[in-house]
Amino acid sequence: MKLKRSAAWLLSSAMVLSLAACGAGGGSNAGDTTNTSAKASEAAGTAGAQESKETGSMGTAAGDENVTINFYAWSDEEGIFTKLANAYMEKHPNVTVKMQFTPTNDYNTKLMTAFSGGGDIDCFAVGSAPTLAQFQTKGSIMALDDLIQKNGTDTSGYTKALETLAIDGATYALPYKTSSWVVYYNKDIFDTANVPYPEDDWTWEEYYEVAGKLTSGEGMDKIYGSLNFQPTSLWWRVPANSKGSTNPLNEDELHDWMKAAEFCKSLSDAGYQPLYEDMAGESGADYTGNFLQGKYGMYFTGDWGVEMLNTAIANGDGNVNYDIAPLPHWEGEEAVTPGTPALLMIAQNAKNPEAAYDFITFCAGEEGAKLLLDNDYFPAWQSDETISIYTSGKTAPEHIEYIVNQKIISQVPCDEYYNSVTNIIKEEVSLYLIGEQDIETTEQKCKTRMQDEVLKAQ
Amino acid sequence: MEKRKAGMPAYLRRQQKIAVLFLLPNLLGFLIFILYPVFRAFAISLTNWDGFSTRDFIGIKNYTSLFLDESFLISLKNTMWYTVITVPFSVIFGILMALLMNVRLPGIKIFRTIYFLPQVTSMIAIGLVWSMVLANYGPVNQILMALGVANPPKWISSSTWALISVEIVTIWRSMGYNAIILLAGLQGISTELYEAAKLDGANSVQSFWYLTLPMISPTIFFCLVTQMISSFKVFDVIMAMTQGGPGRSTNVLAYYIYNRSFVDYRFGYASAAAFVLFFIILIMTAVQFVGQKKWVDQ
Amino acid sequence: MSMKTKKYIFYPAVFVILVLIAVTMLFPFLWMVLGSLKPKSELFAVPMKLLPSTWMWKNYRDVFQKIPFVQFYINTAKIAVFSTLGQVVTCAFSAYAFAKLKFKGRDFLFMLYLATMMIPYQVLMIPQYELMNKLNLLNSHTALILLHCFSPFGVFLLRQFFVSIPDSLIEAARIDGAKDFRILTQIVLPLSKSALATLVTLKFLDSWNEFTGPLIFLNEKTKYTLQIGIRAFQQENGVEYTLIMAATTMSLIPIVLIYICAQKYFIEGIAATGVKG
Repeated sequence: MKLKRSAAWLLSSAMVLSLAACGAGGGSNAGDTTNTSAKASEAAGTAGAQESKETGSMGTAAGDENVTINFYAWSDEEGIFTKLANAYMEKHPNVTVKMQFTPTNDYNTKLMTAFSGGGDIDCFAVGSAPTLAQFQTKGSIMALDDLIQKNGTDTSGYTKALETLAIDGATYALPYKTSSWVVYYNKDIFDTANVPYPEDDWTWEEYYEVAGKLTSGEGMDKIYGSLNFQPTSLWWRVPANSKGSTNPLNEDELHDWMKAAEFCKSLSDAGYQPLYEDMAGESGADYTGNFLQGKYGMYFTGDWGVEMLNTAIANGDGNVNYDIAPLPHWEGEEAVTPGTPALLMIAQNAKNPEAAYDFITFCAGEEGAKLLLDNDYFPAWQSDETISIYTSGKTAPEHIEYIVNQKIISQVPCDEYYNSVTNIIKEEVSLYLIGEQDIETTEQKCKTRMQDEVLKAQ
Repeated sequence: MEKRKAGMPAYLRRQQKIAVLFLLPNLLGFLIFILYPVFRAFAISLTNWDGFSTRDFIGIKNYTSLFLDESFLISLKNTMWYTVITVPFSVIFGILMALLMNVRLPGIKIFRTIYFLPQVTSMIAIGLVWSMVLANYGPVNQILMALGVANPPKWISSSTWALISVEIVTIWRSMGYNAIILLAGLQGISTELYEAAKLDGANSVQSFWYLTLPMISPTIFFCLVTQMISSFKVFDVIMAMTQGGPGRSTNVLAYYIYNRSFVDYRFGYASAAAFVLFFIILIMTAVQFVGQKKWVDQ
Repeated sequence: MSMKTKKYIFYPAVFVILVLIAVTMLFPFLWMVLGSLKPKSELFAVPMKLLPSTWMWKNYRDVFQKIPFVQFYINTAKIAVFSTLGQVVTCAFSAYAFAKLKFKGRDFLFMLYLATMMIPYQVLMIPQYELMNKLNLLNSHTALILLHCFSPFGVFLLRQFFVSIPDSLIEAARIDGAKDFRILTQIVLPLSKSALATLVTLKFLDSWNEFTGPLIFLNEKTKYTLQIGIRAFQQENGVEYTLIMAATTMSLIPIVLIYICAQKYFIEGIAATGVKG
């Protein structure tokens, strides 16, 4: 009976959506397209919220009735969500959180299969905003605004993040953790080269100069000033992110990405970091292992690098005397670092949306933040208290505070086409980085292919 | 004999009944678990399904758009090229390896076991080792330089050579797989046949051509078809070695289909690409299947 | 070929070739096993290092600590054993029908079997998931076993072997009044021991190493298989290569053992010339 009703509802909302999607398909400008479909889904979203109230009354609202929430996340998050769920279940003995963790690289596949194949999902985590936009456009996640209002949820810890994540003014996801990029450097190499450690604010131009000063030696014993990554990765774009250019669907920002690629390649061309063509294999992806070899002066990566290096060093996997510095900025630009908030969302056809909502607000809120902090995560919930907890009690690296002190901007736009177009950009820029295609052609091809294969194709 | 059987309808009818009985257990499961999903996938290929909303029937529009899609055509070309190279070589080397593995030598069982190891080694490890062996300053290029090649290929980091590198690794890995199957085929030949051939004055080359090859031809056919199918569907080795790059130089169909499905969420379109692939393999298999009646001994 | 040329030229030459091939086949495997004992920083050291400077036996302990390896092992073994058994039993009958019985639509049906092997699994995942959802088989090993039992691979493989058994043998048995069931079990199967051994090995290998099926059908960690466990070492911001290698090394032991056992059903081999040495 209940099943039939929700199926009928699903069908009708799906029809509304498919109509909306058709309308959106005609738009040639990326911004327009997103907006149109966002509006449509917002309507569907409100419908979803109403539905949720109805079913929700059978959930936690009733009080101590037994409820099961099905929660999906990727396997990196297993440790933390197991702790969060246990803490939550202790407080709410009538709730069982059933958790499913999937290997990270295949999480999206699993999630999609379960969603489209009609699996039971109440709430789930995703790693970045474009996925939120994709799910939102397809109308498969619930707008949370009504729930936030109704429950009087305190969102003060992540107000700014909610703003960047809003789609047409509506909230569809709560951030639970974030990240920030810093430069990691090998102090011994700086000492040998007699170069002062990078501290405070510095520019990419200075990064280039320092890399040059650190580079020495020849052949197998060569010390490189900087470490780079596979040409098929997107690492090279980070200098563009550091000036706020995060969405290549905008022409200006795409141009900044090309500038970033040029910057990264110039480091290789000058011999300050390995050639990209020599980093093509899988070994080019193991930056932690490579840095631990002690042959590289600096590299930039996210805050996760701290835990990776510390664990590896504690394990005896290698040893370097390292510290971190803020991410450089461009001359004349403000110093900011990109960060990717990871998000929690509720499925549109969740069986227990109210209970699921209660669980995700717990994880994303202050209590969850404390647990995240205890486990060396950088929570999205930010207050002076969380910052001091994060930095206290850590011995390495010395300047751990840079991770939380920098001004963080969202690294990935809330754009449903982002994942598709970055695939194209990866392909084209890899040709540039290995020297098979010049930068003008690369930029041009990115533009045409984004139009032909993504925007026009929808 | 054959003709006499065809002229015996009662006998045939009995065989039909037995055939149904024998086929049934597997056929039932096959229809439900294998064939039904295939039909569903085909139905999806005629829609614009994005994984969430309704599946609107759009006829063959996906198929026509595919042939205007440059990336699809590139991956189709790469896949064809990959298949054309890897299938013959891995089967021919497989036959040679099987012959070697069938020689009576002390310790042959140890060799047989070693030849099986690439099948159990993780694809990640294989990808890693080979990308190091084929690295720009890796062992292969050092040998080439020692032999006087001034500019050895950039095996996995140039769009000219990347696909060839992947092909080499595939041939290396699958020839052992084929050899194991072919060895079982060789085992089916009774030694008396060889002795009889020797008595008739056949030398070893002759007995290979006129006895061994015809006897293992059904197995060779099996290897050819399965190898072709897996070449058309290649995914893992590409993921482990090049991730489709540089550029689109090792972008194959399965990779393309995966990206259209799980990155772009265009499931209808992806399914259509899969069925284009399917029709190509089907035609090639049908050709082989008809052709085999001429050369496969049955 | 005279005994002398055989002994002094042919066999040594074969031996040298066998060794050369063996080296290329063995190398990545050895590198994986040795890699599983290396510290992270040495795995990609340039120039390539074969032996670890410190033997990291700890990597193996870490595997057990990070994933419930034993539980995954048992699950995988269960799926592989039942899949292999199911496949061998059902396929033997079908393969016999395709190879040795005449019936209407035989070639068509056989092509249909082959055709289903040609669809890339990427587009079958969702339809299969929907099917298993309808049958209420999600999150169960049964779903995986069923898919393996009825995969067309075994039918194709066995048919190809049965085809090369001379028809005269079967006709003779029929004239003696033997029923097809007896012909299959008492003539065809005993003659196809090496084929069955091959099917068992390859099917076991296939289901043991399968990743996609377990990924989409299984939800609870207690039901996961080794491949899922190993895959979890490829993390968001980096890959635990050494742990992947340690786990793979431990996981492949049963497959190698099965292969070695299966080899018992292969006779020692005949000389390549076709004549017993």
